[in-house]
Amino acid sequence: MASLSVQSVKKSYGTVPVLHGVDVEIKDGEFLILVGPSGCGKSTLLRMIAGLESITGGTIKIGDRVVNDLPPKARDIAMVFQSYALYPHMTVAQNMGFSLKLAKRPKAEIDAAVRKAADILALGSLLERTPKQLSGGQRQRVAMGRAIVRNPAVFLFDEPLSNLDAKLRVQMRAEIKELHQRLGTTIVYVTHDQIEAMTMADRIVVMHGGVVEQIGRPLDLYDRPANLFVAGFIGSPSMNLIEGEANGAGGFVAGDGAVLPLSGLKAPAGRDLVLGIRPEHLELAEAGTPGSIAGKVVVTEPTGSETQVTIRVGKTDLLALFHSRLDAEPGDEIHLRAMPSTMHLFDKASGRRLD
Amino acid sequence: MTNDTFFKRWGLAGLMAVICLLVNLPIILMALNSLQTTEQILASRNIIPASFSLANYQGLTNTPFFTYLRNSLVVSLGATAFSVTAAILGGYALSRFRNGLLNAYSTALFAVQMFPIILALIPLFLLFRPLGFINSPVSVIIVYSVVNLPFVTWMARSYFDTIPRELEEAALIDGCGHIEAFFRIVLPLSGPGLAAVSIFAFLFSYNEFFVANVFLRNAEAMTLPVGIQMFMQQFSTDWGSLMAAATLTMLPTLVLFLFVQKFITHGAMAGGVKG
Amino acid sequence: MNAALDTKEASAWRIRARQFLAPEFVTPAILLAPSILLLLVVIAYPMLQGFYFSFTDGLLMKSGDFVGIANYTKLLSQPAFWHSLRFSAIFAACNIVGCYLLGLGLALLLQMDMPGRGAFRVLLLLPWIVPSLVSIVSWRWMVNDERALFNQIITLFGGDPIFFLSDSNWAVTIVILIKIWRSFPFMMLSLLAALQSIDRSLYEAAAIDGATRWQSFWNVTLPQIKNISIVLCLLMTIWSVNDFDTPWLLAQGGPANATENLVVLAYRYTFARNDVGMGAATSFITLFVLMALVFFLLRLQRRS
Repeated sequence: MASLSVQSVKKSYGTVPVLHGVDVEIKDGEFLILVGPSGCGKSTLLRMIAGLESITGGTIKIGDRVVNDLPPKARDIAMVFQSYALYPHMTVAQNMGFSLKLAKRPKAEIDAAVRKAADILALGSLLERTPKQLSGGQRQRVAMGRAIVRNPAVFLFDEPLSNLDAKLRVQMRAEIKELHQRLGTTIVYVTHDQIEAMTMADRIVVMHGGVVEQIGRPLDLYDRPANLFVAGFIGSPSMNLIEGEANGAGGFVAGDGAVLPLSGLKAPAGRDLVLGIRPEHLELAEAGTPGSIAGKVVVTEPTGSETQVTIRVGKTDLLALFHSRLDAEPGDEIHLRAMPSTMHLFDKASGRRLD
Repeated sequence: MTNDTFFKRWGLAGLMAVICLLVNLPIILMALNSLQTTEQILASRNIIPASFSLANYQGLTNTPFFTYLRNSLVVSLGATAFSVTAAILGGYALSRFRNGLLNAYSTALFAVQMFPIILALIPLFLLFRPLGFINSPVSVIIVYSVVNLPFVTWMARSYFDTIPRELEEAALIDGCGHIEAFFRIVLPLSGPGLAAVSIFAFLFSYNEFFVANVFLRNAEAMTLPVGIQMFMQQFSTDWGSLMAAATLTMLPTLVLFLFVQKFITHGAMAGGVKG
Repeated sequence: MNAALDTKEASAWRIRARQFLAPEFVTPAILLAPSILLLLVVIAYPMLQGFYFSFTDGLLMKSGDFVGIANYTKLLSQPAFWHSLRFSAIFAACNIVGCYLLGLGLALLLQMDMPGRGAFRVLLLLPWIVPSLVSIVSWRWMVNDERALFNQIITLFGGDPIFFLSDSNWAVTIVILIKIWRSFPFMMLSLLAALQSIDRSLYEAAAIDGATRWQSFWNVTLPQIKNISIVLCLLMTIWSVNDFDTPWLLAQGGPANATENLVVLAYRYTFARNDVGMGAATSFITLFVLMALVFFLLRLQRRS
């Protein structure tokens, strides 16, 4: 087990920069998730930690050892690949024991380690099969088993669940989290799925365009997104982001002229702002309630447990998520309000959070 | 409707069977006639022989046929060893790396594929002679290795392309170095493909005439195609022996080809089309 | 100021040097080293030397003196050269047309659903895979004399036997036929692969749009295989012009020099007439002709 330190790490391919200086400190035993849209550099960063990509600038330390110039095998890490990367010509047991075999450990020790990992992952009955004979979920588990057998200082996961179907993904999410609690090993995990990040991580690093947008605990990112990118990326469905400016009288004038009440939220007047309200924070209100606005229902999408409604206020479409059923037809007028504590204000030019 | 498709499918198969027969008629007639003595051939000239005998094949033991065969095997195996080594190295490099050197190498392979080999043969003849390579398998092995290079490299490359990079990366993390990862992971997985590459390299070398004809001018050193060609010039009327020799020469080609025919698209297409 | 510039340049140089020494460059360089060495020794060096030879009057046993472009001017004044050039052109043109039509036709047939399709595919590849010598022996048997198979068929229909290998025109015809027979399978195989890579849904869309089979062949199939067809014709051109085996093995370029192409001519100059200079000059002209053809065909492709 070890801490991991990424200090102003840069990467470029030829003259094309992909990472512009990333700083992350990962505590011993922490479950850290790198999340961001494809092309944001998260996988590149993970592969640099693994030693599969060279480091253009900066320092990566595992424990207190600088690993910049160490080959992957000397870094005391294990990695689970998106494609699982199981060796097709080896059985499950051989796959899992390969690293120990390369380290020339005695056969009895290898067998014991493989057996132990197989027990943890319920793979005992599959040890003599080849990867071709396994289902997707089983392969995923073997890939994790191979990582566990090494007992490394750090586990690296590169989008390990993206090749599984939705149901299995939810199940594996819980299993990986349980595994982390059981083994207590530091994990760096890459995903593009913010729900995966929110549900599993101790801390999340949101990346975009080769820079870190925000680092924080999942709920901190949800409650206080540091900028427009994080606000839009974390949370599902995405936050409503409305461009406009404060009118100095406790209202927010959207670009099309619709006025939304800020209900006491302090907003600097005379500059371009973006108001953010999460769909789940919009509530139904009686007509005439102070701080409420009226809008027309455009589309309702009931999912059973909740109802997603698109509501047109002026010319702005807002998405609302109600946990109750809504009896409304397109065209009906309804009234909405949001608690000021759940609203977010951002400076449009810099994208930064205001307050 | 099912009946309709049934007749259509079998009708087509019948048509194709006739086409295959017609296309392969020269070879078939040669093989059939090799089972008749020259006297019988010249006397009857029926398309299908009336009686069969192995006299021609027995007669080959009195000719240098088996010397030629031995030379052919030496040359082909030697060229195969060189070609496949070069193909594994080059194919792997082309499959896993991208840079200017590799682009230049690719272009060079293309140029070789189109190169009029006569251009190199004349100077090579003068270059090899003082080294004692004329009438020695060495000269032919060296030239074949280069002539085979484009096809075998492209074929090996298209095989390595089917092996995911992640497997090597996983091996690197599991504790291999680059070379160990290649030998423990990539090579075992490309076994069938490399077997096919070897067989093709062997086939090309075994079949080749022009280069061998330039460098192997002494009966002791000749490969099968050159030797039989000599025989054809000198005893142009001994059809029985000639066709027996040609048929026997063709047999290994056919057998080996049946093993690797399903791989052929890999190399041919990779070379001809992908670039 | 100057110092700053120097360090900037120096660091740029250092970066370049590091890129040069990076494993991404060094590893493939090591892997390719043996092949590159082989290419230099067997192709590049002889080619340069051959180019020099084409300006000398050397013999096989004795190196000659520099004679300038004498070999080339002499060559261009020989009717035998122009004859070879013409024969090479006819040989290549007929081979391409024949192979393409035959190859495409058979590829289309092989693409249809029928029992034993795999076996037919393999059987049709045999002419391509048997040694050139074997194919010539088998064909010679069919055309050799007045009682050979072809002549038996001609007589059956009441014609007079033809001496295929001693009549110039017939020898040319036969050598072209054999070449087509030997090379159509490659065309067929490549076109078949191209046909199979066409997205099925294009045909379904065309059928829904009301296209007949012919229309969908014309509007879907042909445009989809156009590019590969051009590439294949290019390869066929090159391989036809470079072919030595077929004309040489059938009749040593004869009767007279009827089936003597540029390569056979170069071979004959060098190894039969002992004139290395003329042989080298002829093979270089072959290369120039090829390069001109390739250039022309590539231009054609780019324009379309």
